[in-house]
Amino acid sequence: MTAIGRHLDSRLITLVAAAIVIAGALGLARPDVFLSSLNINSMLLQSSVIGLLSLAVAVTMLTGGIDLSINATANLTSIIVALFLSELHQGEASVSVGYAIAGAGVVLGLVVGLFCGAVNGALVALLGYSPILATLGTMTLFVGIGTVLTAGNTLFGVSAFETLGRGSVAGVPLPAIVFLIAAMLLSLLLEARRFGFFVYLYGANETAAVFSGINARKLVLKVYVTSGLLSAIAGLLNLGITNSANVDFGSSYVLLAILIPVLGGISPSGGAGRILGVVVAVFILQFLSTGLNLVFQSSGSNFLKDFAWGATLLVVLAIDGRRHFWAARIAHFARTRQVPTSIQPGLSREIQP
Amino acid sequence: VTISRHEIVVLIAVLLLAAVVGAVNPGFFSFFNIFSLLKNSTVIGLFAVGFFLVLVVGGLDVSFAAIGIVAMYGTVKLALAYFPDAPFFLLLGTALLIGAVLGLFNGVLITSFRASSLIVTLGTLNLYRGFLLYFVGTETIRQVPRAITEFNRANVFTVTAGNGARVGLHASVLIFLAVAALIFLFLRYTTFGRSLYAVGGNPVAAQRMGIAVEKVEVFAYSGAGALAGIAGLLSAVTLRLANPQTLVGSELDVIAAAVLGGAAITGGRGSVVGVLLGVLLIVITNNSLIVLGVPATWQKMAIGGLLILAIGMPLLFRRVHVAEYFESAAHALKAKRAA
Repeated sequence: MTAIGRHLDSRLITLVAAAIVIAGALGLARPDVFLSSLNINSMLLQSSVIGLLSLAVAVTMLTGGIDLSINATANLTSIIVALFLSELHQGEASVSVGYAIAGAGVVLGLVVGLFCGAVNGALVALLGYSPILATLGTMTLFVGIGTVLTAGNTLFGVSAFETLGRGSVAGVPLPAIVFLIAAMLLSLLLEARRFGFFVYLYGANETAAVFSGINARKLVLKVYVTSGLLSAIAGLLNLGITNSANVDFGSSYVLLAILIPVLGGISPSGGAGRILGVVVAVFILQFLSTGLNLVFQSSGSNFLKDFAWGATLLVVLAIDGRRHFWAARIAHFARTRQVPTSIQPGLSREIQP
Repeated sequence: VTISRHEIVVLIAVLLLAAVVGAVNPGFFSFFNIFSLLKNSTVIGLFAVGFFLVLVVGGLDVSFAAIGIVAMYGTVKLALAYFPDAPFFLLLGTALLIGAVLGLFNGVLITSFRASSLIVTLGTLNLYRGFLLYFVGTETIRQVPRAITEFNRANVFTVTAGNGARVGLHASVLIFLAVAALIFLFLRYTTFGRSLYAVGGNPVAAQRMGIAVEKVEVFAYSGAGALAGIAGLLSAVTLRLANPQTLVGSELDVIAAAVLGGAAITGGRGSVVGVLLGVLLIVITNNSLIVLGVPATWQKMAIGGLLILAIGMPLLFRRVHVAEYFESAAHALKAKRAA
């Protein structure tokens, strides 16, 4: 247990150092742009949506699963809420009624996320679908439902969430505050509650978890519902920020939302990693993204970003792979007091002890 | 040749679907329609067989569409620059080689990082596609090498339809069927082919048997890349132009086809015949939703729903989880009654 703790802390220190170095380099190179309040604001806005989606993926990864339907869930949420709001907001209502309607919209959005997450959870936990295939299927299904509801168009001019999307408290944009609160609550849930302990146990060793009397089906169901709720919050924020909703929004977010937890130290095979690491990774990626925008202002820099994200993911995996290699050698030495000549760590990712 | 129960069920599903569509639209069983269905199956079919190769060893390769476009666009660019008059088989060979190299890269990364194949190939998917679109080019090439335009018109045999029009079976269908047959024979009748199933079924047991597990895995990824390269080039043949922004997004159909055909996502299970049947089912569904009166905006939802059902089918056949679930539910109920 302590070994895992140390490993995670070293990962966290590396991440924080990387974030400081990147931010420092950008701040020194272009202080006028990078440190401007406009830039900091837009970075915080962008990273809140992608950050919530990353949290949604991270929580499923901790059980050894994955959720590919996060973006579809977020878009479906914003579409349904936008339709609901534009339906209700016809006449000019008083301010308090406006707030009540917006509140109802938030509740409706969370219900949509709960439902989407429950569908995923039911498929994975109750019917035994592989998480990848189940969420790939529901991704198509949710996008399909969104297409039916919008007839493929973009919904504009839903102003009820303007305060949520554009407002700020003490200079910090509201979406960023929502993201940080969500991260903090999730972190508490996972590290200070029994539920979280079970999630880590289940992710580390499914069989052991089942034999120690955990109701695995209920646990996994809850994890996917949590993922759906986080995605729905991302969808609500997005509706507030962009004031529009459509089915295609942020199609590249799925990769980013997988890359960030992996970068943040969440093990894709489950059972290891901390939410704090994910939060730091969100900011690292945001700094890198802004940096690329500053250096390459030409057209097509989106494709360069795709390339850079792919490369970043592979480099992180390579570093993790080396770490395991050395960990295996050190463990061998500790056991036998002999320097290993050739070592054969676990063959497959899945069957590694 | 033995055919598993699962393949028979998929075959029945294909025949049933064909009967329904044929009843609504009598033109379905015309030579013209059947030939065009086969032609539409070649690209997704080649991708699916490649995807299946990786599934067999227990991996998951989602980068095939990106490999396909890089191989296709790269081949066309190379050919235009250095050998514009090359015959078609040379272009096919170039695409195959580019695909195999990119697949090899996938395989080496996955085996040496010991990382999840889904996550590595998600990374390479973006790496390959981003590289192509940022460093090589984004514009659609309309002046493709002559061999490609010629091959576009290559029909292996033609029949005269009832209304006097002549319809032909496209030569790419033959390439697809030949490749599929080759992979089928390889997986079923060679020791090396069989070792792919062994690795997917139980890697530790396979290694104890003396199989070089990592070599087999790398081979499967390279093979999948090679097939994706061929598929990419054939997609350029159909359109007679090289567009670097196509194909990505078609992954879902391919994965659905392979899983529908009975390949287990955990590896070691499935057959090429099943995958081909899965491809037919997907292609017929995609082509027939309009005929069956499903409005355009509802199609994606229909496909998503079908996909979820289709993924569940193999689970139902194995009846492990569901039976287990109901059994444990019954147990719980009994315990409650007793208490």
